[in-house]
Amino acid sequence: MRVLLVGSGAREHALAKLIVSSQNAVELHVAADYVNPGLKREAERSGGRLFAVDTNVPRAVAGVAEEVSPDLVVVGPEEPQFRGVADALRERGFSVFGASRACSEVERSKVFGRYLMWKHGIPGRLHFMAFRSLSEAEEFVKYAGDVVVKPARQVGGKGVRVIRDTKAFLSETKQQVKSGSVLRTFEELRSLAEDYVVLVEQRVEGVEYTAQAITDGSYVLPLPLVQDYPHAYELDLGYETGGMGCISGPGYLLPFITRDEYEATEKIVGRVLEKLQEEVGDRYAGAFAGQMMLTGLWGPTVIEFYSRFGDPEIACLMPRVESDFLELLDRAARSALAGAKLRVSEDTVSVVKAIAPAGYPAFKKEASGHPVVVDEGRIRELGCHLLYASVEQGIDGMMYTKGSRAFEIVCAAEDYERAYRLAEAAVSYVKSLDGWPLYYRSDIGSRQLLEARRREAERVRTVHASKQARGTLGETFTVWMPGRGIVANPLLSPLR
Amino acid sequence: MTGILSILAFEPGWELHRFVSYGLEALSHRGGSRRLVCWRRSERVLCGDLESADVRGLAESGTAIAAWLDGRRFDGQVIEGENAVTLSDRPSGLLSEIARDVERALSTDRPYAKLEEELRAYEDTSVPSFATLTSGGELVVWRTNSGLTPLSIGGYGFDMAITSSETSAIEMLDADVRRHLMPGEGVYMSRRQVRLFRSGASESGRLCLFELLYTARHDSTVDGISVYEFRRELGRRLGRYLESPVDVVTGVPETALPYAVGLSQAVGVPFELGFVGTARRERSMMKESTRERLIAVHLKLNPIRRVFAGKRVAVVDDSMVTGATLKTVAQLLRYRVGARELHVLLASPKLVSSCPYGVVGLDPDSMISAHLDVSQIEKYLDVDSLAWLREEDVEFAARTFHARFCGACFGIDSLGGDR
Repeated sequence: MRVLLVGSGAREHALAKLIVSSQNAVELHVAADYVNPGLKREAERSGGRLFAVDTNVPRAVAGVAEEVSPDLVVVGPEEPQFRGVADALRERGFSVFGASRACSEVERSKVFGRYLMWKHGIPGRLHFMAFRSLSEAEEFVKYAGDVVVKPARQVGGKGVRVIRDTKAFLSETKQQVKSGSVLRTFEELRSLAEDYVVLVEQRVEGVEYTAQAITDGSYVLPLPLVQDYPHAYELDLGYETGGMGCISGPGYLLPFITRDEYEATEKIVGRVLEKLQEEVGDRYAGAFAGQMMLTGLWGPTVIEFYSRFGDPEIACLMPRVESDFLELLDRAARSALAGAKLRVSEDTVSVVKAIAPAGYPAFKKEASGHPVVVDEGRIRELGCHLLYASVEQGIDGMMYTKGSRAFEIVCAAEDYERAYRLAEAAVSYVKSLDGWPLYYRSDIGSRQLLEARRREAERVRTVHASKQARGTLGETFTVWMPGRGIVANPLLSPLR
Repeated sequence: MTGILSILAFEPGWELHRFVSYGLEALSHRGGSRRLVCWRRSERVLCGDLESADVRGLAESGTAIAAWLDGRRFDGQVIEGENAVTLSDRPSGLLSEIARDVERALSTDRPYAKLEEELRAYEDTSVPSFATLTSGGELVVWRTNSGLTPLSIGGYGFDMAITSSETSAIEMLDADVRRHLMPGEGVYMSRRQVRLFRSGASESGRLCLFELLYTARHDSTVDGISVYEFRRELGRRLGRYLESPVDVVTGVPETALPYAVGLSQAVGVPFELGFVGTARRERSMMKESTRERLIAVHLKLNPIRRVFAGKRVAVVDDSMVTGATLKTVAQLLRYRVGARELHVLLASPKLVSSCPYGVVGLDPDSMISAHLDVSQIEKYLDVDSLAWLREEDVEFAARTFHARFCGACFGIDSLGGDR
């Protein structure tokens, strides 16, 4: 089978490894923005090649497809989906796994995703306000309380400000930060002025996890849950990143998520997919994911949607998948997913750690252009995998950082203690050659962090149980104002 | 000994002045009389009293360290180096040497690795925990190998990292406590990297027993131990030493209240609030002169008469230094209110010597239990009975809470240790 994979990073490297491990003979070609050494190798070993093109340009990708003439095209990242790459390929008669432009709107526009949930009364929805006009946003944010300020459009997971505002004596400075964040988002996204720019949403607390699925539009095949770790640094400190690692297992659950919570999550995912397709009038063939949080407010709660596999979430599943993954992708693309089963190794868990150059994510220029080297043999000896992410092969044959997460280490074992130890050992085989520091999170997969998540899950479960018993799920009561009654809008501050 | 605080804002636009101000307020019970804050400005680190600090400069700096300074000898608590300032939680003659070593480590390629190496030399128990801020916006916070005083790290969303002597400050700043730094552990932070490092073996680390007995706030968590629960547990142990029947259990505000709650629960006698204070809360034990100490004691102790009149009373306190507080309590209850019997119980062993590490600033000459026997003290205080916890009780609590303590001022070298 001849496959064309579109995308350049570690997510695509994980997909490439899953695709080439198919029982069928596979010839893998890759359309990537830069020469990712990992993708290049996977392609060439299978008898295919890597094409360096701008994957955000539908015509360019279609050109590669016409040259390769694949049986299946897999579109990995969201940005090409937003630009209509999958549509251009389908128009030319290719069988494509990956959301169309219309379907990927569920990720591109954070407003649309939320609107869907409210319109159809889907549980796990948060209160929000979206703004096209700077002056309206600025006016609203003056009165906002305990909220999250986000760009209304997906911009690589950047620009999210979580401003917990529960102490009146710090509220003034927080209001200033919210206003500053609104202003900055408008400046950065000015080109999208016809669209919503800023989203202000209810802040919730709890335990985050990702629920991914594969669908052909009518049949939804859920994947095991994954927890990813967005903070750049140890102890969940610092910047939001695309994800500094993740864990999954055992089975389909996580150590701190129950079967009931998993099932409630799958129900939300299923309903959103159904309503999304109705709303946009298009068939969804591809990967879909809910970035979820277990909260006291709702139990499983939607933070945002992805119209693709998560990165690093798919890496976490890669070593645990026992089925022929390519067959599932192919059947989803051909609307023949009904009855398909995914077998994953029930008794193993996985730990993924991203390795990034110091300076990522706030100072990407500084973090770029550093030569790095990996002893892949030693990583393989440990039974772990290495995924190439934001690294590029230079004309001198050396590998250079491109400013984002450079590698992902993927280790699976029978329990977290072992998987953690393997991953910790494996990261030591990635080195920088010019003395520029690389960093990773040693706490991911550790007993301490798992314990902390378990405690947090217990706390929010108690809140959830008491809200459920009193019939107030999803409801927040902000303040009682004498003469006006209870203000139930959680976006408003009791102070202003 | 005092409290230290450090804040690193990953994102711009935060008015750090407010965070420092409220953070220090939440550490004010740890002693000190002057609030110093340091921030960076055009490749230099500036320091000043919080009252007169440059609010805009602090916001632009994005990083700050701050401490309560001990009025007497703050020169040993602040070291202004070439490119960095170091603040410690107590004065130490070694601080200038440490500050120099830290600055040297920070000038290398891999500062966190070098810090591990440099700080290993300071196994000595008298070394204080400290925070260093460099002109380049790097922060180093280290908990001394021997541990004595606590440090915790917190996070505020994607925006801030905070370290504090006590968790109370992190929580008051609307942030989440993420970890307690254990003895020998430190953290290196900048906007480009955050690294935990460990220097030396924490197995030899011990926490100052006074931290849990007296210094920390009830709402803090020290090394994973709930201060309130620890105090209540020691109060329960006091039940073994109450030999006469009593009608009511009370505690000397505020530190002793959880001990009194524990004793009340252990012996099944009601706990009652006994005193109301006037003016703001003062830590009487930390006062300099006898006059100041007595003023603080007298201000915090107006009795609620109906609780005590004609009653047999168990009065609980955390410890006894000069006995001045308990003397005041006894006189008030016996003569002004008319309590029938007074039984005093102390939730710690007898204080007998000075702190060899400079953590607790108590003068052994002023420790009544080092100079008089029980019957003499009973007579002086004018109480019917007087009892202290024993070493075995604190040992029991140490094991219950998986802690290791230094009890040098109680004449006990080390307690607990099944970490």
